[in-house]
Amino acid sequence: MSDAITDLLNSIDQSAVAVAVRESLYIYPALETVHAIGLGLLFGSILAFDLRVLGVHKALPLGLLGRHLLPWVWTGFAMNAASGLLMFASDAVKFSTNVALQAKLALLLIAGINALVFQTRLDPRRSGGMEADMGMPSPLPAKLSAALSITLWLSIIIAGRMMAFVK
Amino acid sequence: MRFFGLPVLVASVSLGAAAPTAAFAHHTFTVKYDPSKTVRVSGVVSSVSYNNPHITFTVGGWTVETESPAAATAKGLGKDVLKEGAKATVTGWPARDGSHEMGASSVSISGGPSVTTRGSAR
Repeated sequence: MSDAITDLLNSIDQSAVAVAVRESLYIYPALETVHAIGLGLLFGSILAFDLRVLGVHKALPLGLLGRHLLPWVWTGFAMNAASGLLMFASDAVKFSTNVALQAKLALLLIAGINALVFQTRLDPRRSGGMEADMGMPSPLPAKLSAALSITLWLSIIIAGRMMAFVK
Repeated sequence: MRFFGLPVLVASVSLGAAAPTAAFAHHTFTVKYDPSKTVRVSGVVSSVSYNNPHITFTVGGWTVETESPAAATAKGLGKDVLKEGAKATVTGWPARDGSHEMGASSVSISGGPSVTTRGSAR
């Protein structure tokens, strides 16, 4: 690892915020709790939307469902990005070499790209209009993207949980 | 049943991948430490890392891992008690890889509290 990155990780490790998260009796458990609630919001909302794209409960209007769920996806994401960064900071040097965290971040990147491709190219609401909204099956590429999304997010959860069990 | 189509297949495959980890997902202890063996060491406590998520310290040449600062403090094993220079007797389960690391089952501080940190390795 380059000296610049090592220096950065060391300075994060020694920052007042990192020390507080590391040493406080309450902050770390609170962050873990926020992370669990955020995970519920994020994965629950993504799963509900992806299942609809895959054809479960097609009677639900996709547009309305998306507008209902997307803010909760972002709420959960913000909670977990913030709590995750703070927990990372508390032991930055050690976490930086954690292979499960590295896998989790790579999977997060892929999940983000997948979501972007879905929203910009595959979303049935773009081409199908009201028909897709009102109960038509989604095109195959959209379904594949939704299935990939579920698989990626489950893998992200597994990788995150595995962080405590690898060196 | 349309419902039990692709999503369930995807979920099954994913859960299948997760199953080997699920068995030990609750605690690091039996993954890292061998519950069939016990170690008991006495000595002067040093290198205390009273940090989240788990406290570690050194005693008698062993690196000891125990619980969270919040749980340890609640049991009377606070930062003021489990500190460098304290004399302690620690019982625990040794690391499976043979290194001098253990997961503590009890910590007894000379002139201070005796605390069961874990009743069992599981």
